[in-house]
Amino acid sequence: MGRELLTDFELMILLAILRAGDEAYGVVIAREIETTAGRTVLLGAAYAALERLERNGLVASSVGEPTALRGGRAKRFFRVTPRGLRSVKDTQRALIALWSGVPQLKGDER
Amino acid sequence: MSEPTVAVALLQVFCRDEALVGDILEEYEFRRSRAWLWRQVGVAVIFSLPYGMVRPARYAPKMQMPIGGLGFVTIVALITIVAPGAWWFVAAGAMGGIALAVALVMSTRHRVMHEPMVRGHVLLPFLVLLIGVGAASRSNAQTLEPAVAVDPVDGIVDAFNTHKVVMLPGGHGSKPAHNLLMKILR
Repeated sequence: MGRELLTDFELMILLAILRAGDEAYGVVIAREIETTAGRTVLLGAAYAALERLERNGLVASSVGEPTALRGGRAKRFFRVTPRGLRSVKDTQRALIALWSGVPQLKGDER
Repeated sequence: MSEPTVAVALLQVFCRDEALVGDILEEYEFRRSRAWLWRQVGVAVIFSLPYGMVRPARYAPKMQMPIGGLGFVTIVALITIVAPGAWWFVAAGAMGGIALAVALVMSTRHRVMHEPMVRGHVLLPFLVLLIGVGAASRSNAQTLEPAVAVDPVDGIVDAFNTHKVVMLPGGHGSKPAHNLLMKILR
């Protein structure tokens, strides 16, 4: 069976979850991607990707306590599973391999 | 800032994840931009469409039976007295509604028990609705009675009994029209 590579958005989400640690829920994940990658995140699209990742066993989620700020709605915290971490590493290796040896990218800082 | 009622209602109907609704509201409190909110709501609804609508939790107490029963009896009596022919329309509409409800329940059940629905199934309730509306309009058209020829003099005299204003042609230069007017007067 081949390696399981991720789309760019899935990779961003998994990296954002890893960066956020235990506090990784929808708002935090979206803010993390927006501040670090400069990409506007639509929460509905992020949740669709998160559900797909969870179905594939790359992330796991747990429901927290409801808060008044959210109209009594609970947060859903996400964490990356060992399989998800392996996928991130596989994608990283594949991207680095593609990156290397491209003459147009050499010596360009931006 | 108060909770945006319409946006929340839309999210609660279409989005199956309460956490997503909470996240959107939490971020809305921070950003306070209606344009941002509606973009988020629109995308959340679109992404939720393959899963069908969410069944609302039964938090509200059930309607009191005497009030509901009285309303039902009143509607039945009104239709029967005022427009008995409309029963076809009501029956066809009810059948369409039941078919739509069954389709929605089946799709929701499918979503809960198995994999998410494919997008094609979203069209099923709309198809059922269209069939219901088509059947209703066809039934309604069938209630119209066919035209029956009557004697012109009797018809015009009846018109005086059923209408406030009745117009008649002048008999100037027309022998048949003059004869008709004379026949009516007699």
